[in-house]
Amino acid sequence: MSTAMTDAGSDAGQDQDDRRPGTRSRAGLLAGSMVGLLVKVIALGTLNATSIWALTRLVPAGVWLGVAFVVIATVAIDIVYLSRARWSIALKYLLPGTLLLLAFQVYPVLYTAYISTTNLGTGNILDKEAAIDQVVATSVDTTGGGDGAVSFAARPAQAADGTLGLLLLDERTDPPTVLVGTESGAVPAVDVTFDGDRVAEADGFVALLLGELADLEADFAALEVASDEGIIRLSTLNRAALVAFRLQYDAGTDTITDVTTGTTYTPVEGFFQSEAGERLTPGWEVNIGFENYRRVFASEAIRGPFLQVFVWNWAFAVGTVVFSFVVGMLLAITLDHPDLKGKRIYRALLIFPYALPSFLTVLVWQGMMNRNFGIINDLIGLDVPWLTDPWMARASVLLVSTWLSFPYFFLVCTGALQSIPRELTEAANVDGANGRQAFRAVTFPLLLIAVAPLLISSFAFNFNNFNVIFFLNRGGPPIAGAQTPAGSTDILVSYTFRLAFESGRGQDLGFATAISILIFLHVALFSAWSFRRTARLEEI
Amino acid sequence: MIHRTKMLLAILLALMLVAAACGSDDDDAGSSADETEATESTDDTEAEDEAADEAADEATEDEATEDEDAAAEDGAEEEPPPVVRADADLVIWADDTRTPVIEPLAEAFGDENGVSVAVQEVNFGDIRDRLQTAGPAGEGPDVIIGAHDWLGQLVTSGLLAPVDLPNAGDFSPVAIEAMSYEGQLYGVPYAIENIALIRNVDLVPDAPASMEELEQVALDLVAAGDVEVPLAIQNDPGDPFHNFPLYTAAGGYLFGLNADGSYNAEDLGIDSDGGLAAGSQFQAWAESGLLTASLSYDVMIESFGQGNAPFAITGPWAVSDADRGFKATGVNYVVEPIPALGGTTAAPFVGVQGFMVSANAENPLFAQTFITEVMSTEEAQTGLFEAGGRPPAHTAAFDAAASDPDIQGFGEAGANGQPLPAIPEMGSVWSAWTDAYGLILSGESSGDEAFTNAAEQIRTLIAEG
Amino acid sequence: MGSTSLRRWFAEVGWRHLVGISALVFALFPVLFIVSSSVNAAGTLSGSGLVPSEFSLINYRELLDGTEAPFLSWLGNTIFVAGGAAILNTALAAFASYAFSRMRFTGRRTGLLSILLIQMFPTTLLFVAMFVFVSDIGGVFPSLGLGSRVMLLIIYLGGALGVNTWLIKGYFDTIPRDLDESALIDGASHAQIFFRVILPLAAPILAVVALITFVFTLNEFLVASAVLGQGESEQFTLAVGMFRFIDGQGGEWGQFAAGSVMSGIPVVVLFLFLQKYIVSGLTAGAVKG
Repeated sequence: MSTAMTDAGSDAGQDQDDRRPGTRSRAGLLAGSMVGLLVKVIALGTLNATSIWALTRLVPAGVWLGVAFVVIATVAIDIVYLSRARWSIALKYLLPGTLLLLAFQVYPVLYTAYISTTNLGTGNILDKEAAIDQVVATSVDTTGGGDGAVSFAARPAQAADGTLGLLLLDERTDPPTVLVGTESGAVPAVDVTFDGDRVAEADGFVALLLGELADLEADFAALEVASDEGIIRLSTLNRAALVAFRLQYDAGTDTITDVTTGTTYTPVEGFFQSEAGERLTPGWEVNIGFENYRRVFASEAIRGPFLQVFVWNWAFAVGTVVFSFVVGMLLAITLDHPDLKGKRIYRALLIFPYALPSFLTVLVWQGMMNRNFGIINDLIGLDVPWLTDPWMARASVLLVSTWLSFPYFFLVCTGALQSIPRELTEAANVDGANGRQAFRAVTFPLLLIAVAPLLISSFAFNFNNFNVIFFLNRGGPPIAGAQTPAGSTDILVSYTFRLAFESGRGQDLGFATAISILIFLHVALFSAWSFRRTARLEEI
Repeated sequence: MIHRTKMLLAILLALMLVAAACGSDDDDAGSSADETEATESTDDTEAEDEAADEAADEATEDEATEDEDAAAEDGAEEEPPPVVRADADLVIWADDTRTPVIEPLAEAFGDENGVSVAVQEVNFGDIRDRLQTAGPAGEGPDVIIGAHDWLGQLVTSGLLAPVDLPNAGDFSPVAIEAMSYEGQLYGVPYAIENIALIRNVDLVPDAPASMEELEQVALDLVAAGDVEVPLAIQNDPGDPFHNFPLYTAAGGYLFGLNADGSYNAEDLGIDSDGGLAAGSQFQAWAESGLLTASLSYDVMIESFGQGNAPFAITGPWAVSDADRGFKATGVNYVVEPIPALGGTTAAPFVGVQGFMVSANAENPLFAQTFITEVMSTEEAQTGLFEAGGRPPAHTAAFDAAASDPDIQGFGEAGANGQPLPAIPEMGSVWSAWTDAYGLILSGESSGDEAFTNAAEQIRTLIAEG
Repeated sequence: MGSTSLRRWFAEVGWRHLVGISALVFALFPVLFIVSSSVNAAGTLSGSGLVPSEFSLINYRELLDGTEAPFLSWLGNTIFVAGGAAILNTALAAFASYAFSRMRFTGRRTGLLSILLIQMFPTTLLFVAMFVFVSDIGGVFPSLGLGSRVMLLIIYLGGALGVNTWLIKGYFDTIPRDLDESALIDGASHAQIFFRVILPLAAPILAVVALITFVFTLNEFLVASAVLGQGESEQFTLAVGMFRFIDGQGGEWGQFAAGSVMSGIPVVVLFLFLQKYIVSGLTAGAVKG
């Protein structure tokens, strides 16, 4: 995209339809251009101001990608809209949409492509630092090494110089001992004030009161008192416990050691792993190159019912497009007759399947098609296995997807028909062609040119139309004897995503995104190829 | 021309400066307004790929989502004081059933400790998936409610913090065990739930002594034209969670046990002798008409609720559903254990729900204090029971609740139960097993074939991970 | 009317009614089912028939009085986002189409193809990237972070160049260039040709594109739930908000049906309003190329 747009500047010589502004001869046009100038100045001014303000936020936050985008976009817009050069004219019309496209369509796709080269998924969603913290934190032992848990009534406290400490009541002695715990250790307190049975003050450390804790919470959560017995830390705001951590991290060697067994774990592919191959969880997100793609092709599970799913996916996408286009187009033509009464009503009502939220209507279809309890079988008095027989289910899916999308083509064809001058069809009629011949010779080819790109794009959309497949029948009915769970109406997205989200590990986002990139490439290549073919037709 | 261009640039520059000044003011105003604005409930819905996952995991999610109606009305009456994440020191994610109970307790806790509290409403089934994205991104809560079988996934991803619960002894040992993963406690349980047999007393005055008798009675009633559905049990097309007690009664097991009592993923029982026998039994039930492949939750709850089925196998959510629940429709029912088959006990899955602390909590101490000192009390547990209708995990609260015959019935049925496995491998089980039941019940495959194949599929999926 | 003229009427017009009525039956059967559930007091997914067993407007009342959900806020947000996206996307697409239709520049064909192909990425997984992206934006600009419907609208603008551009461009291509040229001779600038000559003639397709964008945005669920899902429920669009009514099984089916009917109404109203633009324009004789 961006290449296309910058290239546009270098060669505008063929631009026949534009001329340099500035040679306006009429007062009206001049007045119009003054308004236009004002609008332009205000718009650009606001934009630049917004950009500068955005930079004041982005730069301190260190979001360099955002900084780069804002700077380049703003400069590009300023240059293009202030320039009077011929090359800038096309860009004046293309730039806003293109920038939005880059930011909100291209970037997320690229980001997704990046995810596909990582091991992101259950077990590997943290960064390494957080993963190490978590590995150590979850190895906490509060049972005191088997001698029973040791806990203290505790209160967060602060000394006059701001030092944080814990007022601990050790009830193992009789009478209980009061300890003051700080980072440097726990010492028995000499000068203690009680507030009921709670310690209020000890050796200059005053228990914090209501409302004073909120700001210091993080500091207290991190406070570890190194006592002779081990680490004492707060479990809650009122209680502390003696804890030991089974696993410890050594930043120098980048290893984790199990202090009870002496086993060391070294980082391997996003996990700390022992020599015996035992992994500590959680792991972290790492780049694993094309490993996910290799798995897609190597996976026995994917290769299982793949061919059947693939063929049905094509049939479903092509079938949906063809049926809904044909139905929509024929209806548009049928209802586009000057003498037809009530066509406004027909048109408005035919929009309904399109106007209602599709996840709702698909669920309604599912209810209506229930074999034993659905309304369709009730009405027709038969026992049609709409969704439970493999072939019937495929037909039902096609029926529902056609129902969902024929109004789209009806609408588009109704609009596109307006671009075909009636004189043309009338002329054909005068030349002796009957309605059908005129349609075949004149209307249909013109219509096809207008909607060909839509057909291809609708194909691409339906190729991945997860909603219909999933909400109607969850891909079912199941294929008996398949190597992995697969349904007769599963399409690639629904089938492979199930694998990616249900394999042993849990959710495997890296794998799932790799699959979606491959499906995307497949669909895009086919679409590009079909464009090349239709492009010849219509000389775009 | 040059003059004009210069003028234009000058105007532009001036405008920019003015707008920049206004712009930053605007934003400050905007963001502070944002902060004081209301967030009282978040209900999020999940994307489709997640939906696939949910489908697989429907067992637990059904439990949670089906009772939405139950508390919707309570929740709606009082608009709680609005708070947003940025402002709140303690953020809790709970579903709409639990939110109204947690909210006053959380606010009292907040007042007492001088912290601000926000209880955000999130669909139960979405909490787990949301936490995985939002937690590490710093957008997540401090405390969530969740089901024990999420632990495998959440703990291996490093999303939960261990919990130190001094009064663990006050809870049912099963619940504490279920809330533990690899020897570490990760939550404060509040409810134990399982499915049970629910019988229409008007249609069937005496409890069937065995599954054989149940089948006979039910089919006779259908044959006599008194009811349409012999046994209202969800199977759309198959439902491993709801079928599990029947599967165990017919001799099957899912995972074998390790020496320490945890589930052993290497030992899958679906194609063991007992599992295959159970497969044949399901085939027999499908042939006799006791079970059918297109019985959705809606059909289940309506057929029993309207007296159109003598038996249902379902959970407390179907009893307490506000509009269509068995309590609401006034059908004369009793809750009791699912009868044995040929002397073998029916063991339903037992699920435990609890409060968990996010590893990414902004204020872990507040979170830990709240769940271990406030939500672990008998009063809090009783409040949650009254809202959700599920047997409390707190023993004293349970004993108090058991005066309700429904709770007692579910409790008795659960006494035979097995904890729903929390190991991550469970994720590979749902869809394969669902398919297998679907194939058997629709008559497409024999019990043997379907279960043998399902076991192979599950092993492949586990190996794939 | 004699039998010959009746036969001619049927051959010319009458059969069209037959086709139209059968199409309506096909199109409206499930809709009728939804409408019926929405006015059925005991409305449930499986229990509803085509005729409500117990007529009642309770579902509408409960929805509109806002006790269960801020339905009116959702409706307002949806009209804001979908209306904004419809107007702005159509404008952006029309601008781009003008360049693609009337100007020749390097990269034009590649550009046209690229904008279409990029939209073929399966959105099912894009939501992860969207979530992270918007969450990052929220880190720098809090008012545009997760939960912001303005951000949602901006994201939808990213889709302005795409299949809609093709649709408009195709229509522009059918507008004779002679019109541009005669305007040019009158001294019009490229902007004036675009605004005063091309746009008025392209009203049908602009109306169609606006409607398509409106409907798409209204129903779009994945990106909306990634962006709004964790925000305040007052900021939800209908699609995100209504989904909770049926999420899981059970749920408030009757209210969901009522909400859907009401969310369908803006679309039909908009269509009725736009219909005269959709079927006007060139046939009216504006073009005498």
